[in-house]
Amino acid sequence: MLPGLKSITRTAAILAASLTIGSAAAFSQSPTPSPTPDIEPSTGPGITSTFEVGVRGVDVNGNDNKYRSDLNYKPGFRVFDSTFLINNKEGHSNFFDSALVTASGWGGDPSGVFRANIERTGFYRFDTNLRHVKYFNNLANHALNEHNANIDHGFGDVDLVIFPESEKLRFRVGYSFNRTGGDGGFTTRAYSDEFPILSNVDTSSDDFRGGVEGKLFGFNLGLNYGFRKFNEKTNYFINGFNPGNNPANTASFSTFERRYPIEGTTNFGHFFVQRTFADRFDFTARLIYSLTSTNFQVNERITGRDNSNNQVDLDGFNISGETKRPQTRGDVGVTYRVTNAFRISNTLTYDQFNISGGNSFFEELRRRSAAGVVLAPVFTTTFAHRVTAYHRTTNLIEGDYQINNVFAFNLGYRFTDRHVQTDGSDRNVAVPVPTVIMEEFDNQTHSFIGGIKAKPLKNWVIFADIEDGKADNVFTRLANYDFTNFRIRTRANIKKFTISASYIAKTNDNPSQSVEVPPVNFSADTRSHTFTTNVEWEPMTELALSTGYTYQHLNAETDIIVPVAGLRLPGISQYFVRESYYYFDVHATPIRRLSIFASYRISDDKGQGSRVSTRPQDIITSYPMTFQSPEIKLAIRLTNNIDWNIGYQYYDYKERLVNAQNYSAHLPYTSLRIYFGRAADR
Amino acid sequence: MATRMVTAMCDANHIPRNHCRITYLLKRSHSNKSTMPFSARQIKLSSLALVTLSLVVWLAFGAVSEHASGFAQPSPTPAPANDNYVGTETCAACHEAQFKSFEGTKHGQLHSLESWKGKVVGCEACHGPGKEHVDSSGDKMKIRSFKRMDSKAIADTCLACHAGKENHNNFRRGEHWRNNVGCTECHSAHGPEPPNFRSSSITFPANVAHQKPGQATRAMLRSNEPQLCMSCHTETKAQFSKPFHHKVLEGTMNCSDCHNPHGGFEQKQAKLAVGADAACIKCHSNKAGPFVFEHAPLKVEGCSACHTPHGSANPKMLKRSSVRQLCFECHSSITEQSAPDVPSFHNQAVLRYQNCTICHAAIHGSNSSATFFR
Repeated sequence: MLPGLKSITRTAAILAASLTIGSAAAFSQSPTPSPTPDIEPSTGPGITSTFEVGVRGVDVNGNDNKYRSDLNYKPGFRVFDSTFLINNKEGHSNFFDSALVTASGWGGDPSGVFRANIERTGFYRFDTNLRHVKYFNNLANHALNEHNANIDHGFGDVDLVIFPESEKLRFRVGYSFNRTGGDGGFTTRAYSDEFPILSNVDTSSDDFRGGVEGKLFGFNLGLNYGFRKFNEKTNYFINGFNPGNNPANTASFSTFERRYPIEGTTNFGHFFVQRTFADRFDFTARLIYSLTSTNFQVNERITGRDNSNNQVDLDGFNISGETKRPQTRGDVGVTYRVTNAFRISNTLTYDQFNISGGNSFFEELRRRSAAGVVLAPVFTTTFAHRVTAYHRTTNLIEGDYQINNVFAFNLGYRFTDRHVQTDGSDRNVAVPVPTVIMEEFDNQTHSFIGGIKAKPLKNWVIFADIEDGKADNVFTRLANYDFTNFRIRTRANIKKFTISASYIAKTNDNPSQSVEVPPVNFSADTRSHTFTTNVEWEPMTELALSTGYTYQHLNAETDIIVPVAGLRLPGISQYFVRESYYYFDVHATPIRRLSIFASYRISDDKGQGSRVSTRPQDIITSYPMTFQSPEIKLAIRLTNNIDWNIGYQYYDYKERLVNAQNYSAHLPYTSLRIYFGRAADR
Repeated sequence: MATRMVTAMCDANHIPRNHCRITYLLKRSHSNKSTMPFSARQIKLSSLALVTLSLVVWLAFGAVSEHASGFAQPSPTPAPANDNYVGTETCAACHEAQFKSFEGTKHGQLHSLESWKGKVVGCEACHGPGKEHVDSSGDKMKIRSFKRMDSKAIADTCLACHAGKENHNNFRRGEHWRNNVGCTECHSAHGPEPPNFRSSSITFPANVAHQKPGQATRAMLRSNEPQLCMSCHTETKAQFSKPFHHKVLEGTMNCSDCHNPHGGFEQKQAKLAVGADAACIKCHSNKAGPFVFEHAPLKVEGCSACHTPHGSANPKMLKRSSVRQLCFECHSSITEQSAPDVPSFHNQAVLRYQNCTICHAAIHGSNSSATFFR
């Protein structure tokens, strides 16, 4: 575990223990609480706290790597879903009006969070958010199982706002950190072969930010400055002889080491302004400028054998360089309330960045032939420079009209103008003429949006919207495409039922042509339909039921050109999703001292069904699998303040693939949940 | 009765009626009988760990406390210079339950701030002047009722005070505003409903109504994330239940880590990370670059060109279960784009060439190799 994460975990544990001890001390001196007939809101005075600590067991059958890649629950102690709230409702204390701490997932869980929110109304607000994720990835069906990770990711935010409720002046300061470390597997290419290598992952970033906001001459203004420092210090190496993936050639590594430190900084400024004139005309604008710079140094050393069976005594690389990315983002939005029922809005956004970077590449290659004859050393020096320039302007004009309390609609038009340009040059000192790269793309797209909101009954609402046109930023291809996205949602509360349903359809067609002569129509089409419905029923305080169903139907079909045996063959790429997701939750309190939670969740994706590719140039895939998890928990009220929980969760995962990575896992669990203060009135 | 009592008490203490606060008077009358189950000293002791942290903050800014009262507060409506405002204590006489819940919220505490003295606070700050409503014995048509207002009108009411901060500035630019989802869909101005205890999952943290009292009082939300968001965005629960997913149901991440629920200039109400970077870069900082050799779609289209950020059955949350499939959909001799073709020697009949990222390992960008080998 990262040193930083150990201290975070330790700090969180100390805080949690302090809260527990402190709360216990506070509670122990209080009058014996008695259930009150009127349950007051949790915002009442005093302490409201729940703390759960438990022990989980884990028994995995089947593919343990897949279990860890998906779930990664470990046996042992854990802190789960704990909260601590102090709320000084009666006037202000010297320190704070409310302090809320929540924590969950520390211990055996693969992810955990610690949040604290402390504020004194009118004076300050403090928020912190500390998180960790134990990321494990070791999959047989991804990158030949050679891109693996067993890393800890710790990240957090700390923010302080002074005078948060002040209209005239507010101050903000904040800090965020990001640490990733652990072991990983990676690959590298050399001598027409691919080699799995090991890595010590080490990346970090620290963000600092501060700013001031307030009101001046009637305008709400804000100016913030931020600074990020980031580092990449991951090293790559091998432990001994490495023959490579390609058995057909003689290449191998005897030793390999790569050091690749990257250091970078980002400075950014953020300005916003907002004002509402005469309660009718709202104006808001934002300007962001950021400058990111990096410098890097690659040092790589290889010894071994190349694909001509020459002994490589040294293949050394020194690559250094730097990059810069200035970026400007400007946005302006206006909304005018023509009448109480009719509004028009316009939103203009402009985004521009320019990435420029270059490197100096130096390689020294010293070899001996298979017979031991020293070959002439080869020195390669190249210089590369690249520029990626991008700007996009988008304007959205829209109007909305409220016909009456039952019905409203909105219409809009979006125009986007985009320019992408890549320039560069590669120069080898041995070759007098550099290679120049220049490509440029411009496109302009138009789309129309429309929507309605209907409220036929007091407790029934329907939302629907549609967007149709040409746009970027959805497909992987850069060219224009035609799309239609439709969405409808409805929600109704009928007595003790809450019913919601939605349907989302996305249709995208990307017509293109191949470079072959004569050109062949080359399309990429995606059709996606998602239907979901949920029902919640609470017939009585002691019983609540919740169930839902989601079905996603996706077909993606793309014309591709695939090299097969030296030929370039037109083929087709198809991807299918036929996923049903179903869940059912029951919460019951049959007797005062016993609460039961039971749940069943299942994801079942039928995938492509019986479709198989019959030609090497066709790629037909899906991920057919079932992933189900029943769960049950009994909460036995031992005292007013302590529940004893006994739980069991089962996971079952099956793939309908060749070399399926199936697993099942039994996770028994027991814990004590301790209630303090008003939380005991449950 | 309560109104007459309040009036009499105000008159007896020479307090102008439109400044009279029954809450203040009740506090004075009960000052010797604490309604709190714990003494102030006990609270301080029990919160020692938290106080240590807040003490640092307090000490650092302690000197500023003297200045806190000197700043004006937003004035959503003109100050009550007329008699059309009757005061929150009058509303409490009939709307006791709402008042009881409201007085614990931040809105309900504004009257205690020096800078809000003399301004409209309490019920009438949102519902408008109440004299006509009182004089007509509670005619609902004589008061601003949010039940009769459309969601945009409700949002305009809230934004009259809350629009000045960057988080809320751009609510009118976002999808919620556009689709007539108003503030009160997610926030409860009168304070959250009393908690209703339920046993819940051993894996996913509970909703606010169960075992998590107080959390929804943050920003007066009706419920907490992600359950609040999923009450409308129901399809996301299935997405976050897939094998590879961001840890939202587990409570480690919130929807608001990536999305701004109050709208914004970005599509899908996405947040920005450092500067103008996409939200993904906040946590995945090593993918940001910039690199000498950029993989253009990453910067031009965004991370969602290849990944499905909510969840996927595909490893690395990719859009396709086979990496090469994702690559071929661009790298296939298309006239209108610059993605270079796959070289002819990459024989797809051979397993060795069916895993693109084995060789092109630095697929998010490289400083040393134009073909992302390193």
